[in-house]
Amino acid sequence: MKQWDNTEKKAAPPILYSSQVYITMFVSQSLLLLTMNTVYGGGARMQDFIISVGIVFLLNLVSVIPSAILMKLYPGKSILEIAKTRMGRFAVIINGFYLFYFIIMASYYLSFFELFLSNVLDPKVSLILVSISVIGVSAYAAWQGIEAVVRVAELIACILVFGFVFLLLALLPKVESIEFLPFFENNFSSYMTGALLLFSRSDALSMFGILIPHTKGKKTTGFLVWNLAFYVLFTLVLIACVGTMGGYLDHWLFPVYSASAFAQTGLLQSMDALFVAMWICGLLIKLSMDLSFGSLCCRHISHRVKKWPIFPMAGIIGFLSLLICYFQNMQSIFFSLQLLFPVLLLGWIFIPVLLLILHFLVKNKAGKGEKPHEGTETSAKTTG
Amino acid sequence: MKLTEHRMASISLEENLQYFTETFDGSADLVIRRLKVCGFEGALITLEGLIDKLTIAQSILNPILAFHTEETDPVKVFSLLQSEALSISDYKVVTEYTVAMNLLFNGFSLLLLDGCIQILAAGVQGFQFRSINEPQNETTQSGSRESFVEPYLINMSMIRRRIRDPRLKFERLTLGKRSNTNILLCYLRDVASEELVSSIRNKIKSINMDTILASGYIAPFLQKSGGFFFRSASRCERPDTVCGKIGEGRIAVIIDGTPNVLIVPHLFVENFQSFDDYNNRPFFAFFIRILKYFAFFIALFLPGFYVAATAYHPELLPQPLLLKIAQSEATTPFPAMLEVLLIHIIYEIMREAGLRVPRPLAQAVSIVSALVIGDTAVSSGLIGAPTLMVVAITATASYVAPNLYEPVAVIRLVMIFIGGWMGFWGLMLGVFIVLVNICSETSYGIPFSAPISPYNKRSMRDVFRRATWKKLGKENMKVQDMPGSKLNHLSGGKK
Repeated sequence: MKQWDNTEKKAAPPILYSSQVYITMFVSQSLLLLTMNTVYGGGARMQDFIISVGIVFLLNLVSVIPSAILMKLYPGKSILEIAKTRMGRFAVIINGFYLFYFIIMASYYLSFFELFLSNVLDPKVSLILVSISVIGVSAYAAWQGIEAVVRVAELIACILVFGFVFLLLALLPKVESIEFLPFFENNFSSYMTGALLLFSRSDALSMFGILIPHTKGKKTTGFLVWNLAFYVLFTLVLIACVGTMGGYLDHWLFPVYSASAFAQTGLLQSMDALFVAMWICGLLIKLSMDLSFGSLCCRHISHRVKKWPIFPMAGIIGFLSLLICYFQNMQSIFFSLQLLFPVLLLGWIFIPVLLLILHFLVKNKAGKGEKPHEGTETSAKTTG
Repeated sequence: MKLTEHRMASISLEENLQYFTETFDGSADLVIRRLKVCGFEGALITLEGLIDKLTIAQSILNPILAFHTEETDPVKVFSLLQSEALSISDYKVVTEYTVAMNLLFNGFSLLLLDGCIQILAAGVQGFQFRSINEPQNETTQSGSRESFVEPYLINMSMIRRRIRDPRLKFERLTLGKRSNTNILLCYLRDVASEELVSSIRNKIKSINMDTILASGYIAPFLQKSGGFFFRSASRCERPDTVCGKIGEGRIAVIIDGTPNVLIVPHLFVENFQSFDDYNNRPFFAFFIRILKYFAFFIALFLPGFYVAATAYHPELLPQPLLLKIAQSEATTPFPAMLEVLLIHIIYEIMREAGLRVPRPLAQAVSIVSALVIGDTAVSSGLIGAPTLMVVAITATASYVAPNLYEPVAVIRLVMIFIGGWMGFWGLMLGVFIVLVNICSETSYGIPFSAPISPYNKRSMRDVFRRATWKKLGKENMKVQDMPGSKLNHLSGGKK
């Protein structure tokens, strides 16, 4: 009989499937739907978002191309690792930039939730308490690792799907065609503004660039399916909300919340609690992922760093979110296209394109025989 | 004298006897019977209460005393005794004191002969033990009525009777510097993951304790501890359930003196499975399992939700129900959170008292509790009837998945507190922490939340619904095939 090895083996690297990551992206992206509003929407009507969503669908498909090509050229490597391979010491700047990106994205979403709680749900609520508790729970989840967060997202996806279906079922009988105004009445720029707002608040590209390369399963096909499925759902919910409440929604800071509160169901008086549950779940996943990614960036900046940057990052995010809530100037920066769009453009389109150019430059320089990338890093390093 | 040192036995009987008498220091249970065997001085050593005297008389003493040989070499006499005199099947020849001592503790008698370095250890176990009874905590409608008992050998036989396969292996380990408790690892060699067996064996060997008296002493070493609410090693008192788990590639750890067997790895979904599910029709098993999941959520979150809804989100409740609650709460002096917390704590006190109270007093305690809580507290206006009802439903729901009672009882209190302090959004934070806690744990490389997350359709055939036996019997699903598993048998990827 074969003698069994008694020695303890080292912990195996985490196993992630692309389907899990796309589900996480769905959960995280659902915040886009829940937090969509026209007040910060550059003058767009709620109904205009139906067109904007289609534009975002196309934008996502186009903007993912550089990252997808990089993924093909450097299998198993995230954009952080590719930057290190191609840029050496200068990759620190790229990692630092991504760290900044994740901090501002998380701050934006957290502040929006704080505003919602203080404006709508409970005006007496302490914003500091909200900030500390939400970011604290997210930091706890991030500390447990990306694998754990992704698994939680899978469970939460069930709550979200259930919630959206329930919301649709409650709203659809109330939809009236009179509530819809003719499309393309406005200037096309209002559709574009709406689309760019949604696009810049989306985290599809960051997840694709960092997590997807380390997963098993169909990666690019998965992205197509995810993109299509999410934006079909987005459109359906929009049609239901607009068809129920029409132009009335344009004046609300949280239109989907208003629609859910309007949806009278038999058992529950209104569905706003479900809406809150969905929002918090999505927000916690989003914040946990951003914290995990931020900690990865720190690890790429210095190898001595382990998981601890999660906590200072959480502190910065919490503080920044409070500043956004307290100062209108900050709100106008964070909630408009001024900050998020350029940062997204730089981070997830410009940098991948730059890395591609560097790749081809090195390839041309090195000649045909040499492979343009050297060495591989373990997926464990990236996925924590 | 160190008991752990591997000292060889002496050729002299007197020296050997001196070793045992000195080691036991005149302990009352050490019995040394001197005898003459074919003209040689000999002795039979036993421990009182661990042996069957009749067996000793019939199988050892009578044959030895009646045995005659012309042989003058004590070693040859010793050999002849084994082959021609003794009428006992379970015996061993040892030469080390520690091994002999260990066998003595396990109900063997030691036969020593002057001039012979070898010691004959004959298995004559005969101690008293509780007979096999019906399971107390895992009762079923149609399953076997047998439950494990304290002696590990009996438990071993109960498993062997159900799995008549030579590939079923029992691996014996001894643990506890003082208790020298026998531990058996039980698994199917061709099904269990080698890495898993090796890992569990190493973990058990690394336990450094003086005494092991129950499965609870070992369980923490086999599972993740610290910050994790749920068990990743289950306890089972039914041999049929254990056999089913072994068939799936799990490892059973039998501990001498404990009527429970530990099973590792243990997944979250297993808390909702029972042996009856496999006897009932699949549709009914599905119904019961869904009911259990629902009861688990009620037990965990209902009081917290009730507190949050009444204090912060009354719009969630239908108006007639809200009016009833408001009417009742108007007469009580405490806020809803305090009320629910108080009743829960009182309930836990009563439960604990009910568990520990001497049986003759149990009835009196339950009557007093029922009167005080059920009637007086409500009629005096201290507690609202809806609150009491919520607590009663919660308490009942807690026992639907009994393995989860410990985490449920504690998390529930935290949820009540959070619900009363922060409202619904705080409650959702609590739900998220519980989910993270479940999803972050891996039990020997297998995600504790599998196969729900990571999801695997193939493994889901025995989670919410139980597939028909035609499907279940077609292909045996091993625990290492769970999605996300990092055990060596995994072929990689989702199946």
